[in-house]
Amino acid sequence: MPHQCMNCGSVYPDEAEELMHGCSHCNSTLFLFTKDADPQDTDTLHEERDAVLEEIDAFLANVANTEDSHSHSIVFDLESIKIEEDGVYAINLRRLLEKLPLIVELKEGAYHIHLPSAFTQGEVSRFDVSTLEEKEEK
Amino acid sequence: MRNLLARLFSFFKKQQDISIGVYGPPNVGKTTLANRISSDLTGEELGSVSEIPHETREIQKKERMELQANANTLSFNLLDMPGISTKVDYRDFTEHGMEADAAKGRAKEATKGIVEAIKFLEEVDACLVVFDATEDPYTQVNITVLGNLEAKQIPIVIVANKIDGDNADPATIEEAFPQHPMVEISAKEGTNMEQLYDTVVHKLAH
Amino acid sequence: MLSRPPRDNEPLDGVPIEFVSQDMLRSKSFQDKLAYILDRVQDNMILVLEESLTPEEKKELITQSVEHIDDTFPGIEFSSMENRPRAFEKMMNTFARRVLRKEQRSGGLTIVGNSNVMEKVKENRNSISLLAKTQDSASRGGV
Repeated sequence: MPHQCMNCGSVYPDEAEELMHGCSHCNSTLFLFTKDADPQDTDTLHEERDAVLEEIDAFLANVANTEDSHSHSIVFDLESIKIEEDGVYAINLRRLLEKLPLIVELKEGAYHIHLPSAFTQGEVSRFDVSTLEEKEEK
Repeated sequence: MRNLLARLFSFFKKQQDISIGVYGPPNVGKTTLANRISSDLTGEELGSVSEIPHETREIQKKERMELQANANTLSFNLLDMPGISTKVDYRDFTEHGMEADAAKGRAKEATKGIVEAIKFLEEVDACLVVFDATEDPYTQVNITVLGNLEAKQIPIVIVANKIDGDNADPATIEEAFPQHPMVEISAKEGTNMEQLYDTVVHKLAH
Repeated sequence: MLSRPPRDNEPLDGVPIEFVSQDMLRSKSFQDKLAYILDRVQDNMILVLEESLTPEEKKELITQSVEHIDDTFPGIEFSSMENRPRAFEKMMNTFARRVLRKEQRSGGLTIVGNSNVMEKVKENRNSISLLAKTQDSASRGGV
């Protein structure tokens, strides 16, 4: 039972619709990838969720500080902002406005954030936010 | 997730003043309008204005303003938002004489400001959506932002600004978005501000 | 980026401009009309429509086009000539007669494209100047 809603604890399998649209019980769009582990209780879930949200906020706050001089198209914030060249930004409003469901995986002490398509068949995942942790090298 | 947090916050917010966000593309006169409202109601302005687009790159807030109309009082916080656009190009600033490095820094800040303004759509209780009445209202930014506000059922007053300009055509704006009250003004000249205040109180004070 | 093979004497680079008659537009359903326009705009063509688009059509076109925005497609743009003074209507009718070989039944002409291939240079009371970009400058404008 791989994915758990980080708000209400409901558990969903890999290809569940809810991963694409949000939890059917509480509408939350953040899921924890628990692999084959037992589902966690809501207190623990909420703690992890808060930690993830803090990280996402800190990450978004860093938008203005990203080193982009050696990049061609660093993509961050889930492909809603693209740096086309130094000083030129393309903003996809629709994506910025969408609350894309996210799947959070705790791997080696760091939170990795994926789009649900990384876990379902059919749509190829084009993006894994964890690659942005290497943004300094890009 | 943010939904749940937002719901909790709005419960607490009901006990406080409402937040009115001033949204729109760059250079339509949002800050000029916010300054006009702020000066009319508190004697102070809240932001700087420039012909160079994206002058406002951070949310500028003026708290505890009060509007009265017909025995109704509206207490609110006014939030002047950075102008939203789908592209930010430092060359739009260099053509106003800014040098390249400063322009690139401004472009970064403007982009960040847009992200902030969009995030804040979750927090505002009502919006003044400002249009330049001399420009075509059918743009991606206008349609997308309005559509999003409507989906969230956030009350909107449409402001057709710059009616003092040549070719000002507020009727086209009204025709485009007939479902919201529209007021035509000139924030720069102060024309029709009373009508704007009346409309805002009428729409938002219960 | 033509969506069909180039014909004889047709320049290989350049911006395809298609004039679409009122009859053609009127013969289509709402959705078919929008799809017709959107497909061509996504193919980097400029369309000159022999009629005004209604507010609903414009809003729906924008809303639908936003779903397709990506590296190669920046979104749709319009310039319309409508609600203009009588003198201009006369000018438009002359243009329509000479260029489109059609009598204008109602005022209005709409130019639709995307910013890869078209830049609104000036929109005045009586005229709209557009710059059609060639493939070279179009690709510079993209990724």
